[in-house]
Amino acid sequence: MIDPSKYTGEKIELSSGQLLFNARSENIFLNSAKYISLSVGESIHFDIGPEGEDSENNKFLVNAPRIEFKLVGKGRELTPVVRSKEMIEIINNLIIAINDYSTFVTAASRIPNIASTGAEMLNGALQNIQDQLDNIKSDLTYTQ
Amino acid sequence: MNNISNFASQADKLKGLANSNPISGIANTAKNAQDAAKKVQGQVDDLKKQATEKIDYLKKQSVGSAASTALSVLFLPILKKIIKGLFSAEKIKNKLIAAVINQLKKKGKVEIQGKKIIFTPIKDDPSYQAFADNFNNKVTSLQNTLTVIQEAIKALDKVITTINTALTALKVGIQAAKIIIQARLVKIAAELAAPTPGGVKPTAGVDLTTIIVQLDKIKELEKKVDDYQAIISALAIIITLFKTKLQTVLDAINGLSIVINSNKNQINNPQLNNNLTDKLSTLQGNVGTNNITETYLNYYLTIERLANESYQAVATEQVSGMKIAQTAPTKFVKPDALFNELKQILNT
Repeated sequence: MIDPSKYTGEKIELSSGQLLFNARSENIFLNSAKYISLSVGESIHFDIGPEGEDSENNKFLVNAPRIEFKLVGKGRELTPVVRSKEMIEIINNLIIAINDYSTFVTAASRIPNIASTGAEMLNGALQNIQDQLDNIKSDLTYTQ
Repeated sequence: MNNISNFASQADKLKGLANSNPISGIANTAKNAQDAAKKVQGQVDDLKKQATEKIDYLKKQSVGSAASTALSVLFLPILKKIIKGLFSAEKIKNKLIAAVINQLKKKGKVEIQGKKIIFTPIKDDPSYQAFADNFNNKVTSLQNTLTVIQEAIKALDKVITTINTALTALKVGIQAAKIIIQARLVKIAAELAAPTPGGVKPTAGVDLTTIIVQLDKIKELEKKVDDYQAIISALAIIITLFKTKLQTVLDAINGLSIVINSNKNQINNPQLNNNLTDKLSTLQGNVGTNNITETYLNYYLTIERLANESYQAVATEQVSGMKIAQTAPTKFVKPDALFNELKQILNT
């Protein structure tokens, strides 16, 4: 990205104490062949939809192959965020595995030797859960 | 002693049932069950030959532990096999899906809809269908493996039910025998209480010793039966666990397949794709597969699909064909909005 102060091509500059863009009945389009850079001294707020209304039509949509929160810097590595559906499935499988083991061991407490088979069952379930751990990582969204 | 014979006979029937099943592990289990039953009978027969001095020995013997160990040894191998089979099948299923997604996502778009892996390749290639067929065959093979495990669980379930039925019948017999012996005991006690000349009652004395021995043996047998039944109940709970697990794995595998979508005319943004399809059907002009056109004032307005799969509305003068205006390329703005934006540009 070229530094705006060094750009020599045709351009329009607007600079004032306050700028207001208001489309009264339609849309505002910001299109760019390369970047759109928004830099502010304090914070950016997106207010979408009437206040207090909870409609799925009022959404904040980001469509990009990769979404990053926070800049990568020295000693700062981005990590994938957790996907809730897969996470719930893994936790659920973990609960089932522990529950099954508990049922097995309780039932097998009267049968010597078989109780250890419950440990094999738990081990099998845990290994399969462990194999699924990578699925919880998003390959789209990253954060610190 | 008829009750003991019944138990052995039930074990014989069990062996026959298991031998009719193709799973040898279960046949062995039933054979071991028969051996265990015969062992019990042998122990009781030995006890019958012992006199009163053996009663103390019987009271000290740890019967429960011996019986449960015997049964656990019988069922352990088949239980281990089922566990290994179930979790291996699940592992194979997980790895198969992960490997397929990993391979395909480098060559196109992969979506998972329910149990279908929908693959839209960047370039059509007949080898993708062969790849999908191979995957689907592996799924079928996995289903077949699970069917074998399912049959093993069913057979094991049947063996357990049969043993339980035999044990219940045996217990009823034991109760009946106990009542008869206790009745005899009451009768002899009454006889011993009645005054006799000289105070000697040799017949009643001998009978009393025999009855005491028999009662102890019956109690012994009753303990064994209770212990076996507790084990069988525990095994039934474990089998139920296996059934649930099997069903979960089967549910995850049944219907699993890869569907190859042709990439012809595919547009990656589904919302935009739908809008374009609607537009294509309603607009008068259609210039090419990926472009849609309408007339506005003296211009043709066209939405063009660009190489990077973004869209752009372009206005050309009807007579000269000269490009008059255009919107910026976008991947997100709908065709209607693009046309409106272009019309606004033309009106200014």
